[in-house]
Order: sequence, then structure tokens, then C-alpha cells
Amino acid sequence: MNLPFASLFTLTDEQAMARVCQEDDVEAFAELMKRWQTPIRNLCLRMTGDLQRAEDLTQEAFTRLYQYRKNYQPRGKVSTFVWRIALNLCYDEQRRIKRRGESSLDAEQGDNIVMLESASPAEQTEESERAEIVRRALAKLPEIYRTVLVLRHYEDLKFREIADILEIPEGTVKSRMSEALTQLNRILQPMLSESRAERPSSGGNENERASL
Amino acid sequence: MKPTREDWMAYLYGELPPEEHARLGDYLETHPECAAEVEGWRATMKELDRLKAPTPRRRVIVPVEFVKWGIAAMFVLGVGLLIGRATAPAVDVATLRAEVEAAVRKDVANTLRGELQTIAAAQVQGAREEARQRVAQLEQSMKDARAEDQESVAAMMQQLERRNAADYASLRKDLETVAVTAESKLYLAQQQIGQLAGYTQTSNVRRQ
Repeated sequence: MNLPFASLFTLTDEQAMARVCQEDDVEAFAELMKRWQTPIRNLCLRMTGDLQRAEDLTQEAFTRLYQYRKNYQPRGKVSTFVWRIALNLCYDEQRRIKRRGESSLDAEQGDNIVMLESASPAEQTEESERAEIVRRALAKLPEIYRTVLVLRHYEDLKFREIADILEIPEGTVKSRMSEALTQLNRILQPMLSESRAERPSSGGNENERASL
Repeated sequence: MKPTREDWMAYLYGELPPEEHARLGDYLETHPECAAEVEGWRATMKELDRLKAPTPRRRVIVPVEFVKWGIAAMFVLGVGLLIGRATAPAVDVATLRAEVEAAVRKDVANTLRGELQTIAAAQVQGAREEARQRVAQLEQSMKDARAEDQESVAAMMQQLERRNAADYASLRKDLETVAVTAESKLYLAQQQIGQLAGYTQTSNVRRQ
């Protein structure tokens, strides 16, 4: 296979992975990394809530992808394989944190918060506060629900794809999703009203509600 | 038929075929208790959106150019690191081949260099030996030549001496001859002077 370098960009993930498996093609692997680095980093970020940890886990995920390239089934999608590796790493990381009794996701990690890009600094502050609340609420959600929620809502995977990654029926994914939304709402509401109470100047209606 | 929670998830995330989606939408209008539950989920989804599009905080502070270069550098570094990390533990044929090739090349180069050095040393030694011999030969030939020269010079000197002696002898002979001739001529002159004087005396007597 002496295709020119430019053709790397037109390769499907599966073709690139085949090159990696059969020929240890480093360039094909770099191309896969380029395509999947950001989604995997975002997944790890949502699963762990920590940017630094997410970066480390992403690196580790690609290291494992290369190490376990022989385990890849040519019939399956590369993305499924990559997501699965990354998720397992996130689970391992959570377990390790729990064992060490370290502060986990639910810790107040101001430095690594992710937020929306917004216009004015005031809006930015409020938005980032709300984002932080969501992040903390998400962290309190049991892992099986958080996984489904992150994959569907943030990574925009179809329920079918999530079912393939987790190797569970599609119906189970959907019921986990509804449970995830219900539980998250239950966690989120008290946190949001607490935040409104702490910010009486943020708006008329909210101000009234907070004072009641 | 009452939609299940699973159906509502597919509805909320737009995974239903259009007609099914429309049917569920209609259902909500006639079933407020269901609509309330779905609205609750929708509200939670909106809250989740606040965490969408993650951007590290530092991006807001640092000028875009630096971020661009920083990201580029980090990506390059990351790729390098990852490839390095990925290739290290796994037996990577290409890398291994490259390493072995490098090692073999180095080894061969070292051996060659060693041999070359030996050969060069031998050649230098040989050349030095030859040079020494040549010098010795030259010296010898020079010595011989000098001896020859000396001999010839000596011969020439002897010849010269002999010639000089001969010259001296002939000169002496000549001188002796000259001397003898001079002496005899002197004697002759004395005789003539005596004769002349005798003539003069007789003529003077006659006058008187």
C-alpha cells in the first residue's frame, strides 16, 4: 500500500486503523489521533471534571489504542473501540481516586472548570458559576448514568452507538438516560436555588423568590 | 399507546422517524402530566448545555496568537510524546528495525574504522620502514659516492702533483739551461769586452 501521504486524510477510521495494525503505520496513527483527540479529551473531561486529568487520560487512551491495536476487531468501528478504551480509563481513574480517598470530581476545582465563551465579563461570571454548578451536579451522578449522559448529550452519539460501546441493549441506554436526567434534575435544583439565594442582586424575579 | 420513557428520550434527542416524532408531539398536547415530565427533562438538558463547548479558562486571558502557537506546540509535543510512549512498550517492528539497523551500522562502522586504522597504521609503519631503508640507501650511496669522489679527487690530486712535479722539473731544467746559456753568453761578452779593450789600447799606442 504505497498511497501518497495526502490520501491519509481521505481514509476512513477503519482503513487507517488497518494500516496501524498491519503495517505499524505511524502516520495513519497520527491521523487517527488528530481526529479523535478532542472528542476523547472532552469525554474524559466530563467524566472526571478535571482538565489536567483529562489530558493525561487522553494520552493514556491513545497509548493503549496503539498497544492493544491487535485486539481491534476489523468488523467493529474504530470509534467504538476508542470510546471504550477511554471510558475504561476514566472508570479506573475514578476507582483509584476513591481508593486513595482523594478529592474526586465533586471537589471544588476552580482552576480546571470549563465554561462557555460569553460576551460580557458579568455574563461570563454568571455563566461560569452556573456551569460550575452543573459540573458539580454531574459529578454527583452515579457513574452508569453519567456515562450515558455524557456520551449522548455532550458527545452526541446515538443511543445505538452508546449501546455498542457499553455492550448493553439500546433500551437500557435510553432508560438510563431518562434516569440520568431525572436524577440530575433532583441534584441540580437545590444547588441552583442555593446559588440564587447567594446572589440576590442577579435579577428581580430571582430576588423575590430568594427572599420568600 | 402510551409512550415509554425510552421513547421520550428518543423524542427529546431527535432520534425518532418524523411521523413517530409528530405522534409523540401530539400526545404531549393532550397529556399534561406527561408534558410536565418531558418539560422537566428538557429543562435539565438546557442546564447541561451550560457546560457545552468546553474552553479552558486560560484561553480567555491569553492572546489568541499565543494560544494558537501554544496549542500547535502542545499538539506536536503530544503527538511526539504519545508516539514515543506508544512505540516504546510495544514491539514496534519499524522502530526495532531502525534501532537494529542503527546498531548494526554503528557496529559495522566501528569495525571498519578499527580495520582501517589497523591498515593505516600498518601502511604508515611500512611507509616509515621503506623511508628508513631509502634513507639508509641514500646515505650509503652518498657515502659510496663520497668515497668515489674522494678517490677521484685523490687521483686528480696525485695527477696534479705529478704534473706539477714534472712542470717543476722542466722549469728547473729550463732555468738551468737559461742559466748555462746566460753564463756562456756572459763569458762570451767578457771575452768580447776584453778583445774590445785590447783593440782600444793598441790603437792608442800607435797614435802616440
